[in-house]
Amino acid sequence: MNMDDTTLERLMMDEALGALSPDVSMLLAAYTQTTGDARVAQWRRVANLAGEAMGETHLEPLPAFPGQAPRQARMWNMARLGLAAAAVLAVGIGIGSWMPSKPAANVSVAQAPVETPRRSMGVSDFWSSQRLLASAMESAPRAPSRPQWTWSMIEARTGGLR
Amino acid sequence: VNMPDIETHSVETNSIEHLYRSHGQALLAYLRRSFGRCASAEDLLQETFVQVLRNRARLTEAQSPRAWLFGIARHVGLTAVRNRRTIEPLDEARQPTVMQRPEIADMREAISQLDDSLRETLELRLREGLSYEEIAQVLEIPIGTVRSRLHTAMRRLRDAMEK
Repeated sequence: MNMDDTTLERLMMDEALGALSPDVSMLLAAYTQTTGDARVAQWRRVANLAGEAMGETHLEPLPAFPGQAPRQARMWNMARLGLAAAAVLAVGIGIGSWMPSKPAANVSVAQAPVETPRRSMGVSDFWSSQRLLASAMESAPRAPSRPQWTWSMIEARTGGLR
Repeated sequence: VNMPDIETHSVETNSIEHLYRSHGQALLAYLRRSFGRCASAEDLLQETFVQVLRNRARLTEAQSPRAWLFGIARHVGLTAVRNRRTIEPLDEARQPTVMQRPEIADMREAISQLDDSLRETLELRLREGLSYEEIAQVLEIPIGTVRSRLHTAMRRLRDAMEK
């Protein structure tokens, strides 16, 4: 079976460029072996030389992925926030311990008015001197222990000057 | 932002980070080689992944994530070429000068004589190792065009080497 020469040459070039599937490569190799076609080797040489002339791909170290930088910055920001919070807490505790202690709160307890039992007069007559004296003593301020004598009291006690 | 949104965002970020780790180096090398004269390859890589993030919804539709990434990187590089943001030393100047076999030097010369479209297609195949389908996706051309470009490039290289 004879193949179209143009098609055959294309297949050889594709084979040299490594673009044929293994099955087709095997078929082509078998065919060219029987016909003794040397062009396969020629195309392979051209392709190999071209590959060498272009040079191997020199792989360089990659810069950091763009997403890594913000992630690191975010972690650093969080760490700084934590440090700032700890610093504020420490300053607060320091100020609190440095300040004098607060005086105890004045607790004012409303005292119920003391009920002073009314003295029993023990007097029968309403206008008697004892009653007047007792009434005066009751109405007078208690602070001075001594009773304050007034003219009226003296008069009442002595029965009048007249 | 509710919880599903956060989870979706996290999953997307993880998948894009995975893409970056898997293909970032190859993309960086591709950008430096192809567009390093016009812009910083690191800037182009960053811009590429900004575009990836913007168009992440299309990631699920992409048949080959690698080809999709290279396609975006190529667009970013071509935009940089149009804008001519910065000028960097030529790629060749970065490579250490070693004694080359004469045939390699001849082949390099032959490759430099190729049309841009042919050279780009050949580089994507031989240097980046993309399949014909992936090259078609990156260059946004039919797969038949990829095949014909590669065959034309191979013939021209062979002819140049036979001279």
